[in-house]
Amino acid sequence: MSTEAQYHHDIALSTRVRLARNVENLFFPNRMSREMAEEAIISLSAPLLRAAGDGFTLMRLDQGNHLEARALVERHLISPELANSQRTRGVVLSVDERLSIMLCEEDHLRIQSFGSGLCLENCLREALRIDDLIGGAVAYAFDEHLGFLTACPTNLGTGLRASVMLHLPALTEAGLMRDIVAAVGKMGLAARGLYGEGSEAYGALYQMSNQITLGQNEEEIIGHVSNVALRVVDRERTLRARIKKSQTYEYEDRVWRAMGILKHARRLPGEEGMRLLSDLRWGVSMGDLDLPLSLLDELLEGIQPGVLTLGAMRPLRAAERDIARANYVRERLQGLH
Amino acid sequence: MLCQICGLNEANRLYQSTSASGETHSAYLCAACAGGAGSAGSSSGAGAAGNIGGASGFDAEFAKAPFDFDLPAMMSEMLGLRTHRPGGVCPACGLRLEELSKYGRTGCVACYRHFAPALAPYVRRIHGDASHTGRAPAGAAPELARQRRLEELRHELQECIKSQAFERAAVLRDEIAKLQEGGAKP
Ligand SMILES: [Zn+2]
Ligand SMILES: [Zn+2]
Repeated sequence: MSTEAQYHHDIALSTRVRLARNVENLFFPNRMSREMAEEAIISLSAPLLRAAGDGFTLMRLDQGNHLEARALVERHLISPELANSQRTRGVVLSVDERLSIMLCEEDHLRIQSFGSGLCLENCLREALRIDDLIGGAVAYAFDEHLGFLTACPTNLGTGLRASVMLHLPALTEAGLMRDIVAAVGKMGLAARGLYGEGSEAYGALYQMSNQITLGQNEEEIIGHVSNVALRVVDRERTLRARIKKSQTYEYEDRVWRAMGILKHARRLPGEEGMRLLSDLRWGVSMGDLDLPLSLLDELLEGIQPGVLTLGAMRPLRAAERDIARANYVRERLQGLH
Repeated sequence: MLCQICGLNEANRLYQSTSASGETHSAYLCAACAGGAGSAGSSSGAGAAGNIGGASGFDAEFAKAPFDFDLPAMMSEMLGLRTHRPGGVCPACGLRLEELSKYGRTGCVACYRHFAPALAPYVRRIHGDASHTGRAPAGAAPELARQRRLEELRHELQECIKSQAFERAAVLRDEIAKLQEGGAKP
């Protein structure tokens, strides 16, 4: 089996594993004073910054860098809660951006590990490696029955949230997403639009993650998320093949039309950009266009308003942003088809 | 936005329901609180699954609710405010029970001990009747393994006594005693 097929890149964009941890003798962040949080950020980042190999850097988020924070949210490296909080807080990022450790978000530590495609095992292994690294330096808040103690009881136990981002244009097109969301809900997974909500998920991108964190061990949780995600992937793949066969012209027109507009447009509003890139990704994943899938995934992130503005290094009005977005996509698609 | 019933999980969508009298109720709920979410919908919502009359699960609950149902009261009930004394304060971080029930967030490790009676039904509602089986912090591992082994042995002992397998029970009893002793040592 090729790597591509193994990681299901045609449908799975990326994977994230998150571990929530707190330090035993400190109040949780919502009860901390600024001084306490200040100290916690220093002591919790120390073992990471000392460790060689990952190239960790600490970024403070309470020092006026709103735009950087916004861009990190759009790229899913930090949570909106961390970006928008008024508290003293920070994030430690690895140089390859596959590890992001949020400090003093809802919990003292939110260890996040990312990977491309469906790769829950790799992500879990990496997150646990960081867990051991920090756990060796501080005493975690832990109870034998409740597991790792978290500010919110929804995260008790393993503190593990495993999520997979799926691109589901065929299921969306067929109007089946509501059923899918309900079905995976019954199997204990929450599904939501990655950008936008529910059936209005821009770009047909969905995130699926486990709801329950207590009672199952880490391997059981990711095994279950993986199984459910694979069933959705399977349905999407079957449906894509069926649509291509029965509505060949509609399908081909849609994909090539997207290519045409994205390669030539001079103004590209965000929603339209998401929709067209989604169509294009669909065509690429079917092998009908010769573009790397990774480029599409990069573009889907790159056209987000905060990321664009950060790239421009100056504030952009909405109209300017649409122009910047069109330019950015055109440049990246130049010479490719 | 947080779920309007538990105030804990991120609400995943707006649920709507039509009561027998034809009134429409709506609330932002998480998947867990919405229960049989398949029957409720965000846009079609009311009337989606014949929820007037023979409704089940979430819809039935909702149909029964008074028009302007009292969310704080529902949450208080869930958190056991009615059975536990109000005004309880965590001795370590000073979090009040009202704050806990309002925001659904504990303030420190001691909160879990102090508010244990109030939190227990809550935790059960989210996670079911479960105990942690995942990894433990490096320092806690041997003690946790001992506790889990003890639990297993005690369970097996009960089974042996029930089935009158007394020889095996005697062996288990010794093993339990030995393990318990091990825990007493530093
Ligand atoms: Zn809820
Ligand atoms: Zn407390």
